[in-house]
Amino acid sequence: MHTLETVNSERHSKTKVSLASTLAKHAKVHMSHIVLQEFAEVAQYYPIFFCKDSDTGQFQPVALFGLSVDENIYQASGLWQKCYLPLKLQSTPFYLIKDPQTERPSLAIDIKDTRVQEQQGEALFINGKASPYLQQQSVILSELTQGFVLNSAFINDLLAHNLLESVALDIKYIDGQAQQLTGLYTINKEMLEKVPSEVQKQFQQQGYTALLSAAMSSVSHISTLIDIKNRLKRQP
Amino acid sequence: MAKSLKHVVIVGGGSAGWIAAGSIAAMHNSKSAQGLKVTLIESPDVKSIGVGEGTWPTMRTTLQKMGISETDFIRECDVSFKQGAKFAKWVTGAEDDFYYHPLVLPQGYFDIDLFKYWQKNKQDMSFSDAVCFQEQLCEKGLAPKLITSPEYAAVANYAYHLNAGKFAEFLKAHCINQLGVNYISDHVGEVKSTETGDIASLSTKKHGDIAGDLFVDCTGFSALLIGQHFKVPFISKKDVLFIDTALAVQVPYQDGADEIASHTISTAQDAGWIWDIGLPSRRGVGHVYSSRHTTQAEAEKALRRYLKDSIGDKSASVTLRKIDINPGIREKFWVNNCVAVGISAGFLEPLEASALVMIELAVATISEQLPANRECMDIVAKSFNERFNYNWDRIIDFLKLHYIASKREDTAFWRDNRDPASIPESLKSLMTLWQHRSPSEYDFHHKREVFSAASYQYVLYGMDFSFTPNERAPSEAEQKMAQRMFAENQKVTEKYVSALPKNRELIEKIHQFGFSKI
Repeated sequence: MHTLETVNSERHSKTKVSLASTLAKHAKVHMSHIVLQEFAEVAQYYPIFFCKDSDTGQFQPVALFGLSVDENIYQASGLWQKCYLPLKLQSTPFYLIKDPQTERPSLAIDIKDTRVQEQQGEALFINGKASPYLQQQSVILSELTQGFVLNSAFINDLLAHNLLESVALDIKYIDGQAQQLTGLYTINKEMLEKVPSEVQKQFQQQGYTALLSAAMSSVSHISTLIDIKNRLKRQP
Repeated sequence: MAKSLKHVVIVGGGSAGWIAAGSIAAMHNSKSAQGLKVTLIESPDVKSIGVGEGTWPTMRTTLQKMGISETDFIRECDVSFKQGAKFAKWVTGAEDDFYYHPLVLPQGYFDIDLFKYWQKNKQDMSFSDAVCFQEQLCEKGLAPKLITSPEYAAVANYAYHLNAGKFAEFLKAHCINQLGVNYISDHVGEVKSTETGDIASLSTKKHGDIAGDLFVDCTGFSALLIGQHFKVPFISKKDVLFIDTALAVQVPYQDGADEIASHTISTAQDAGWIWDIGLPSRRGVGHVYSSRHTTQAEAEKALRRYLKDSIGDKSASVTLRKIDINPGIREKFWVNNCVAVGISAGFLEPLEASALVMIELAVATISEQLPANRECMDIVAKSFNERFNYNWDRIIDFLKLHYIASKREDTAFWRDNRDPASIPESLKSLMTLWQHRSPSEYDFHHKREVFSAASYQYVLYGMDFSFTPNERAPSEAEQKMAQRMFAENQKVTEKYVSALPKNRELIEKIHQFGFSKI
């Protein structure tokens, strides 16, 4: 569970975040929400799918790190250091919350995050002023906030043209274990080809065409993930 | 060559009329110029009856086929989910007497009859709890699906509770704006006939004569075409089903956050029973009774007493609406070029929400079997009449079953209901069979049966029906299978109870976010 505190120069004057353990921290994360601005980078490393948020039922694009819950194949295989880290994970342990007093969005830190302590790492404040690290985190958060707005406009357009379809992946590993991956949605290529030309043009102008092809090409990373998992199974 | 069927005219704009218009127009592409023309005439003077707030799961298919978004429907018709019915005090009348008729089939329904295995140690758990997870969902106020479930998809099979007035308005807008239904708000006067006795046209006050090839009578109790014009006799079923009066009331929640029951609650009374249906914004409650067995004053007292448990002293002041019910059906439903759908065809009583499902069944049959021309129509009409006579008989049997399986001796109403003279022969035969084996698909072998054998099992075994099992020992393999099924049901029950949200919580989320189509 999170315990969020509004970031405050007095209260958090000594607070530090130890970034060395960031990847280890996410060792059991099997997917992350991503935003449109980072599709191109994400697609180089991870398969991009669309998933429904369990709380709202709304679609969000995600980068997949593992093939089952709590599994992170990138971390397990040591590949993760070389990969791009999605903004959502970069932004932790910071969050934007609505300040209970001012009702305005304000920066908050999860003090239950194991990386948050007072001994080592990046300080939030230096001489009472926001550190470059904290400023950077706040930039990431505002980029994320903007990204989620863009995401939902993008997704609404996809749904309006029936461009998402559910996929069920049937995986069989070398040790005979079979697995079905459900709850994932991807771009419906057949429908995409049928989109009328004036809509195609609109997609081009909005930058959607590039996003769509990034998402579609990224799906091939799934077979890489299966290969790696097979390899991991062979070396216990 | 015979004249082809090009124009369907529906008279009456309640649930029946608009379900008919929407289903026929959607299937026969009325919005295109080459499609079938569908006209609905609704009298501005006639108010629709506006009860009939429970559906069957079939409604999901009916709406989907009309191209309706489930999210829109739930938001605009004050809809909540229905996962079956809870029958209280029907068996012995004791305070703790209840059983469920859920909508999910028994575990392993097509492979094994779990009843006899359950019967051996039935003190542990009700039949419905032993073979189906849905009773627990209802008891805990849980929804039948998740916000991530696509529109119309179920985790647990479900139907709806809805506001019938809003539902008719909602369908009307969809039919006119999306499906190309031609709408006429006018009063129908004279019915003009051809020389063969068919309806040639209906004269209206402001729109002149409306001609058509097929006329659908959805005019409710007035039965304008099938009754008043064609004089098709009405066959009373009051000798089988005694309910003939309803006192209905709308009850506000005490608190906006009150739980919404995800099942219909039916509580037996001295001379009838009380329905209790939870919508998101209010409850609809009503007492249906036999006027031969009680007075209106007594029935009103019983209803107010029932309400007092949930709304306290307000129960004394809520306004009741009296509705007369004349249980019965037409001798025929389709004559010449006219077919009756809804109350004009028949109405029995609200038990098991058979009214809307019969509308859906009739409309689906008309729409799928739509005669190509007048020459084909009599053939279709004959088969329609046979099919729906059969359907009505099955409903009558199933409703009557609820009364005859009761063990209540306390009032004349319950005793009279078990008088053999009031029980249809078809039901008597089935009851004889069922003393020695479970209701099975062999007993209900038609296509599109209204109630499956599973429904009969839930009611019979929920009501503690006396059953004489045969002496033959079951095979070891079957015994093992039965144990596996019971265990599986327990596992599934635990899984769904922990995963599904509260009914009200899901409904609020649907209003906020909506379901996705995929």
